Amino acid sequence: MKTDKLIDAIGNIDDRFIEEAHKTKERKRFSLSWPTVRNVAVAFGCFLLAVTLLPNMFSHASSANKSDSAGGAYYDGYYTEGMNGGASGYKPSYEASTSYVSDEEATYAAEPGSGNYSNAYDSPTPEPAEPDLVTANKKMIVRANMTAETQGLDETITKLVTQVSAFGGYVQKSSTYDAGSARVYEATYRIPADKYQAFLDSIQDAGNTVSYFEETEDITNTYTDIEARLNSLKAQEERVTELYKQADSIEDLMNIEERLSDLRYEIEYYEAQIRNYDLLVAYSTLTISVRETKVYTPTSTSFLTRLKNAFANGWHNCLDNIGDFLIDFVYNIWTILFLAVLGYVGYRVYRRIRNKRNG
Amino acid sequence: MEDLKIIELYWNRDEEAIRETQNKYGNYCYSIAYNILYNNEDAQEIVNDTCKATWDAIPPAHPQNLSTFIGKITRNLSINRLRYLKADKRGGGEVALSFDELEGCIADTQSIHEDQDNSELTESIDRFLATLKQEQRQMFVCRYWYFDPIEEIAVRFNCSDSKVKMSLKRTREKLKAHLIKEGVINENR
Repeated sequence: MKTDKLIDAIGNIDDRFIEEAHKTKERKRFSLSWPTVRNVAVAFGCFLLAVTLLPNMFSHASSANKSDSAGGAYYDGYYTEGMNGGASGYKPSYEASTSYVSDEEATYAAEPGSGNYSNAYDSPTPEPAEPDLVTANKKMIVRANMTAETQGLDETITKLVTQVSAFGGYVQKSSTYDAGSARVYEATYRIPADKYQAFLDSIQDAGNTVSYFEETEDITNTYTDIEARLNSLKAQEERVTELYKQADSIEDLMNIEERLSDLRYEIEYYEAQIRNYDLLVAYSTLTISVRETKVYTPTSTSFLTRLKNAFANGWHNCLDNIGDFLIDFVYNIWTILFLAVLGYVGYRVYRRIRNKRNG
Repeated sequence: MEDLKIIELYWNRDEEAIRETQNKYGNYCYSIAYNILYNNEDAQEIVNDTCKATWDAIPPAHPQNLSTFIGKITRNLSINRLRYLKADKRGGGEVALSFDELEGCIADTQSIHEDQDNSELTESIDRFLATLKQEQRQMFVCRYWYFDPIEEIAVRFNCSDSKVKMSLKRTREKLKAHLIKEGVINENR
């Protein structure tokens, strides 16, 4: 009863006190409370930790043949596209890779393994018929992508470059960079088409192939069309040149010269195309990416083996991630300190302003 | 619509005044009622009752501050409703906690004079509130007039729950000392 009386009395206090307190309710939506800041900071910290640690963990746990101690994110694109051969030791043949012929004539039968997406794990290995793109009198452009891993990147690079030179090829471009926990070498090689298979054989022991994708484009028809068009233009050019010699008026000469100029422009254009195609056909293109790793990707599909490998690789992965995290933290320590000081000063200023405002 | 115009509508007995009050102060009244009753339907009913009570009160009243005038009506109606619903068995909700806190402040050793006029008590509390720092006063009013939860007050004042509790405790002790000093409550009774 006494409390009721007090509550009733408080209910009738001066309006200005009620209004003054009500203003704090309006302030609520703009204020940044310490609990909120603290919760947001903790959540952000957890998020950063998760972003740093979890992706690699999940990528390794999800599939044993995808596990890679040097961080799986790099290989994700290949895996999800199902192009991963995952073979141990390099198998640069059609049956160990995914291969197809992109061709306006759809000449699948002409290529071994073409049109059939095979995988080293799940399909028997037929004896490959060595494709002879040059002698078959077909114009074929071979392009391939390879991802591999090695335990000694420098030796692998040396070996690869040596083999490229030995087979008469050249390095179109190359780069080496540090991808966090591992170094990665990326390069595009141009290898004479007739020596391409031999070249692939020669680099078998340079590292462990994780995936290999090869595409063969048959440009025979296009090439033949261009050749025919070029011959026709050349014949026209000869005839027009004859006419030029026989012309007797200035007007005729002008017209014939204009026509000759057009013809020669077209001829040059088609000749350039032919040269470009010749180069593409003569030299196969191999884009290779080699990642340095401590443990090779496992090759067995047995569940227990995969489990064992996942466990072992997971440990390496964990150590790598912790190392990466520490390195990233130390790398950003000055930024973190600066932001912390800035935040602290800002908080103190805000408190001071708020206290002044509240009297 | 401005408060003065709404009051003018009340004085002209124009029912538009009730609609305008609902629009402008409906949420405000609802939040006060809900803090006390902790029930959506009851709170909504109190908002409607507040409009009716305001219609009855103006005229003759001519409030200087319409929002607090309406707020007080809502608060009184809500507390009366709570007393009716719960009798002496007060249930959960902030109002019950606030009652307990205030009870702890004066119940054990003091009692309010039985014949104490409520307006005198209110005036004494007004004088007490005027002596407080703004933040303490705001916390006190938020807690014991609006019956806001401690957590909400802490968020609003950018501090921890424990700081709010401590501030309220000190204010209650000061209030007790003030009421004893002014002879509103007896000591050792």
